Amino acid sequence: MNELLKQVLHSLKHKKNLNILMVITIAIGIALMTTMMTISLQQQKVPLPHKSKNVQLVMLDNRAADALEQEASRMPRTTYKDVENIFNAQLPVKSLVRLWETQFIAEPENLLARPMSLSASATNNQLFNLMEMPFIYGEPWSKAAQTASQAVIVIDKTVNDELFGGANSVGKRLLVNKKPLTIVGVMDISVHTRRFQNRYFSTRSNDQAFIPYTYALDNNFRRRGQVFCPESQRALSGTYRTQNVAGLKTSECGFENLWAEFENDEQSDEFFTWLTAYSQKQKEVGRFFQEKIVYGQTINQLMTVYGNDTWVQTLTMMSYLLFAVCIINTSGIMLAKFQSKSKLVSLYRALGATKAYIVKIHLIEVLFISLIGILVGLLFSKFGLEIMFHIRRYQSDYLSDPVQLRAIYAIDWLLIAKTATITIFSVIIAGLYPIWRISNLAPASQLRGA
Amino acid sequence: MEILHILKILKRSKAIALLIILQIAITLAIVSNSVFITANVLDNWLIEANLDEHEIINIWTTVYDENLDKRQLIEDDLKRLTAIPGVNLATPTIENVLERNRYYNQVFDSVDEKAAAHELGLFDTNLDGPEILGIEISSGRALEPLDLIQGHYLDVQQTAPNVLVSEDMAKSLFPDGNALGSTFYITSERVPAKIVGIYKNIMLGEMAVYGQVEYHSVIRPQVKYGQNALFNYMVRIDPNMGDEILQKIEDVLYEQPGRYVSSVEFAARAKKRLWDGRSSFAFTMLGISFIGLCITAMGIVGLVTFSVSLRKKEIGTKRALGATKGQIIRYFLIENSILAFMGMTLGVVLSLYLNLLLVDRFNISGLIKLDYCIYIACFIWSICLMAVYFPARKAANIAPAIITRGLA
Repeated sequence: MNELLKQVLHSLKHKKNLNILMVITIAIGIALMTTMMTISLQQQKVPLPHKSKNVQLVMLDNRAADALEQEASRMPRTTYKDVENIFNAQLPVKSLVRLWETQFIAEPENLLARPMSLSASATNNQLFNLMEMPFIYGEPWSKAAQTASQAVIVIDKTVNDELFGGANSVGKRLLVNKKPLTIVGVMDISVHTRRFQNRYFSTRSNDQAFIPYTYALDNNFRRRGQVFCPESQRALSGTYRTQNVAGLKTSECGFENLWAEFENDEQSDEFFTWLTAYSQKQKEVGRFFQEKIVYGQTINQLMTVYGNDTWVQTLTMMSYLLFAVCIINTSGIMLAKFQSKSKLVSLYRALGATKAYIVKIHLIEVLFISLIGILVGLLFSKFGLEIMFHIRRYQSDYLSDPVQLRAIYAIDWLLIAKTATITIFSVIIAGLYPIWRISNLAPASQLRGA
Repeated sequence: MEILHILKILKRSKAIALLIILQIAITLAIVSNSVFITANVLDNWLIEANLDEHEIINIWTTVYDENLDKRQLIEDDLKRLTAIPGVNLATPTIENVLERNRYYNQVFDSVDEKAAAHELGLFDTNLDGPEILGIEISSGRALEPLDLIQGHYLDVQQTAPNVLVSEDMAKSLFPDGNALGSTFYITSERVPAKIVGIYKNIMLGEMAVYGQVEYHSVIRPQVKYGQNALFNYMVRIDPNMGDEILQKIEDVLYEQPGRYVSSVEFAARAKKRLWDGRSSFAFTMLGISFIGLCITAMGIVGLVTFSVSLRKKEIGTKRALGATKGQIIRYFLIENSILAFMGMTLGVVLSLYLNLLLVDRFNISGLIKLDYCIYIACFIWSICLMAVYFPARKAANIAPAIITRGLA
């Protein structure tokens, strides 16, 4: 064994420059591939993975009968009427969440800090269960507060840091559009890398606050998300966005995202059976026109549509191709290197080394080189991820939330193990031909000219 | 004859030939597709903006105190802004220069419901607007005090009757060239406006740029407020002022309580943002192809060096039989060119396939351009030639006498 290692070491010392070239080639190939695969993998991570299949976005298709075919995940939002009816039916579910986006200006009551513009959502308190939101201080607002349309708010840690210096602000008041709201909880939303709750799965930024939907409607908080009106009411969608809440409540315009979380399949079956019957009844009254009205999409299904980043996929594909170039290149270099020592090898063979022994020497050498290449490559890929993170920040003109974004550029060890394995196998395959060639040298065949 | 001989030799060293061909093919596929995508971006990027982007500042604010007197606010703001040293002019506006916004404005050449819609940047400003934007009237007249319409949107029903349009806008609306003095219609409500002046092309509207009608814009002397809480401004500053002016403007605007300042930035930054997404993607692609090119070139150098070392004797024989150094170099260049062309033929097929995949599956807009394909092929070929030249020169330096060593 010792003898073998000595031979490998000797072989490695031969033509050192070619070794360095091989290490660099492998390193670049694996670095690029790991970088792109990591980004792609992190982007494809589904929110709430342990229960994502039990959480469904519920949609009712209220478009005209002649509407174009459309992906299930892009069906209209739900109207206030339907959401109310579904809530009132008291179906057995783990949680039922309604949510729409808004935006407002918030400042502390003492007016000492400059105001902040907050992206927020109006929702019901079950959202916090569904999102499994960690609270730093306080807790979600109560059902009673919600029903009474109380002026309460849950803010994110970042807002609390900026306006209250990170201190416990529960019970303090915040002026929102000049009206006081009491802070009941401070959450840490950064555990979620995607803003999936409004179904767009943005990685750039997340909600900074939540307020009860009752309070938001009573005080006419601007509807910032989609307000989808059927043809007959389309002209009104503008006013439904900024004013006329009473009209919006009775209109056929959908503006709410409705999420249902189920304990098991029986619950979801029961839920959708009821909803189908309900929608058919509503169709008879002339509120729906399509053949299929009810749509349910799990978080996983939505991810396949909204979580796709074609640029990352393109770059990933390019990195595979480049990896192939690197492997072909390594194969060429190995061929050159082994060939250049054919005289030496044929001498070994003449002196009694078996074919298997020659194969062993070179296989270990190849493994050793690819291991070093992988190590250097991983170092490079750490660097590559950093570069891609900064490109992404530049791309969003530094308006994205760096903390949320950073999660996508984090190293994933499982993936690294995977790419390392792929690389070792590829390099061995690339080395098969050169090794086969050198081990098949006839003993002493190369000695004639020497 | 020489080529046949080379082919025969290539047949002997199939492995190396195959490796070179494959490398060139894949590299071509990577490079050409990156270039297709980049070219698409660059085509847009290189359009001249004609904009004094470092002298215009976009300001975007929200007033959340509903009790503020909006008319007084605008008056005060203009006074506050122009009082800052370095700020020359200021105007209220709805749309900002190349600013991220959601205004999707259209104009029509007739009230006819089927009239074609033209996208544009629509700038509702005061009389200083044209000077702030830095436009240059090429025909017609400048705006006059009587053109200005001002007031709360509920009090003032009237709209500005006289407007300025850009040359391209005029051409699109009135292809016959009789734009000056003609009337067209703004937004789907078909508000009529008469063209009193035409200015030289300038890139102003963000949505116009996205609609690929970069120079379409209209300047309307009209300041209406109260429709929403947004109070936006544009100011013109002295040339060559640093970023400190932005902070100064923000501080001055915060003197008024009940207001949130969303952004104060140079038009240059808004312009940069227009291309950020696509250009950084395209340049990342180019970076990857550059790495690919380097690796392939390195690989070719390595393989040719190797094949030279294998053929030392052969070269020596040739030299001994009277081949000049130039002939030896030429021999290697031709040999490698044959491989390069094989690789490129395969590469073109591969890149077409890759393009199809990218366009089809990922919706990437990178159309094949044949002339680019040829340039790239030539470029890769020249890199191959360079990669071969140095080992070939070394080979040419092999002494004819080397052959005699083995015979001893």
